[in-house]
Amino acid sequence: MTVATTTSTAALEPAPGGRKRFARSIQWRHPALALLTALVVFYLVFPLLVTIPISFNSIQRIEFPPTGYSTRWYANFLGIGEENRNSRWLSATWLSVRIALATSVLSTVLGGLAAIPVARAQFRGKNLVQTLLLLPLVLPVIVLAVGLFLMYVPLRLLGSPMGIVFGHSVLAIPYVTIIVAATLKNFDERLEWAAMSLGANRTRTLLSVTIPIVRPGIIAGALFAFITSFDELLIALFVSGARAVTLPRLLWDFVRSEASPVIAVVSVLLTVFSIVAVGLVATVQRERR
Amino acid sequence: MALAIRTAEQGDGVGERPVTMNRRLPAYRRDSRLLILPALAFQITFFFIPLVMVARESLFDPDLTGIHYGEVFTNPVYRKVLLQTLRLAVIVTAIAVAFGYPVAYFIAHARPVVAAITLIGVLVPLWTSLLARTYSFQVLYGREGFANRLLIAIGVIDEPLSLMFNAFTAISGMVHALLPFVILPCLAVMRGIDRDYTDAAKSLGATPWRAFRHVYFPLAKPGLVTATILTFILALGFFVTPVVLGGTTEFTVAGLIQLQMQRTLNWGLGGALSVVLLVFTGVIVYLYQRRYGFDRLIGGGR
Repeated sequence: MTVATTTSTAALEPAPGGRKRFARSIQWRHPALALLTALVVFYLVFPLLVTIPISFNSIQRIEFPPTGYSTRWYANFLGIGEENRNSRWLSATWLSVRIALATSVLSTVLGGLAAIPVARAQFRGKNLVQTLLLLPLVLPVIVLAVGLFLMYVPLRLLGSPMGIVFGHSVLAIPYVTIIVAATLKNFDERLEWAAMSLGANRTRTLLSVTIPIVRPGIIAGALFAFITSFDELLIALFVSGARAVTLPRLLWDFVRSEASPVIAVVSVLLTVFSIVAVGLVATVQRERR
Repeated sequence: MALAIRTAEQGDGVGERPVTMNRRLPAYRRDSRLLILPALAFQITFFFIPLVMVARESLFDPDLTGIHYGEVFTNPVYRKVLLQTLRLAVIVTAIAVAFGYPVAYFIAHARPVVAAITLIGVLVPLWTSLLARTYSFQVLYGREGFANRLLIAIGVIDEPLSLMFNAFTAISGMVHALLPFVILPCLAVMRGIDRDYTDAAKSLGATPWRAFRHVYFPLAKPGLVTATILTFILALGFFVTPVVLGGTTEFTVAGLIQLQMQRTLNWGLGGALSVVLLVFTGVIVYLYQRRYGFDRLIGGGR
């Protein structure tokens, strides 16, 4: 889903050129263009804000503005209070966090290793291998979800969190590979040669020179993998069965059936989470420069 | 990289040692190609084999049969869903590109602070759960939602309108979800365009419009093409938004596949629909990558 996001972090850095260009570029700006941009950004952000008052609604309905305010839906989500014992939301969130962590680790290792030859090696059939590796990003996820379902039925992997981790990793590995490969391409390989000329072996060089320098790329890749998994619905919907209910899956069930403000609570919390994530990646990318 | 190799070949002091080190290493350590194998094996197991399973399910029942594909292309209901999906994807892509392109242009040429703030406004929704965003649209357009209450409050209507479950809500939700996929690839290319070119055109007497039309636009075209293709293939396979906001009137292939797989339990038909969607998307990706290369599509325009 988030294919273009690799660009997004780099895009947070200011455009090359800086101040000198700025003076000359004034003629490029037009009030109509600024107005259009403001409207589009408003359209993008406003729906996220609308859910905030709903999440504090006192009754079980979507209505605007709410009749009364309470924090009962937050209590409902967090499992606070007697009637909210064993909150399904909390257990679903916890499962999603665990699955996302496992996906992040698995795809960072596999995707990160693959990034080294993708960035550096030249060999016959590289283009083909690379395309095969990255294809999951552009083909429809629903088809993969159907395929995993058909494959998991005989393997008895339906309803197992591990099955979901494998599916999510298929989507996450390409991201990690792209992000780490991009960092590796900017990396001066002579630093490695220097380390080895001073007596470091390959493992030592990888651990003490290469990995620390491409660390921002690795962290960004791991974070993307986490978010990809944490927000993934379709694969979870097809292979989670009745046992492994992830947060998006539970959210889906609720969105389809009841209009409870607890969905607004989850939406607000997920929006806050995404703001933190964007800030985190921006910070990591800044560190790189 | 090239420099390092050259020094190594010449055998001067800097390069020599790593080369001798390399020779002492076993083959599997010298050759970084092999590092691609774990990821490749994983993708073959959990991506390509599942796709083969889908194709097999659509073709065998239990003997080789074309009945499911016949059903997909002759049953008027399924044909209608296919055409509807295509129509929805075209409309959504057109609207998203029409609004996203100027926004990317604005960000690319705005003051750094303004550009950063605008960009955050694009990135935060993109990174927010799609389900959460879809729910927001329910809040916006529901019977007692924001839009209805606002229209009643200012006296435009007396009774709440039924805004949900139609083409309008589906399109507006999908445009919301896909706008970042237009803005970011366009922005990536526009940021790299040297403004001296258009300045030169203007100094030679071109009007700003002509300078844009004949100099800037062609330079930014790869970004536009990438954005359009990316948005279109994402729109074709979209699931959450059309199903939740479009209801039954705007049913798409992805929704139909889920229905066949999980409700009707007609796996053969679900498989055939999946293959049709897959092949259609695959052909578009193939045509694109022959012209522009695969990297650009993945890297979002870089």
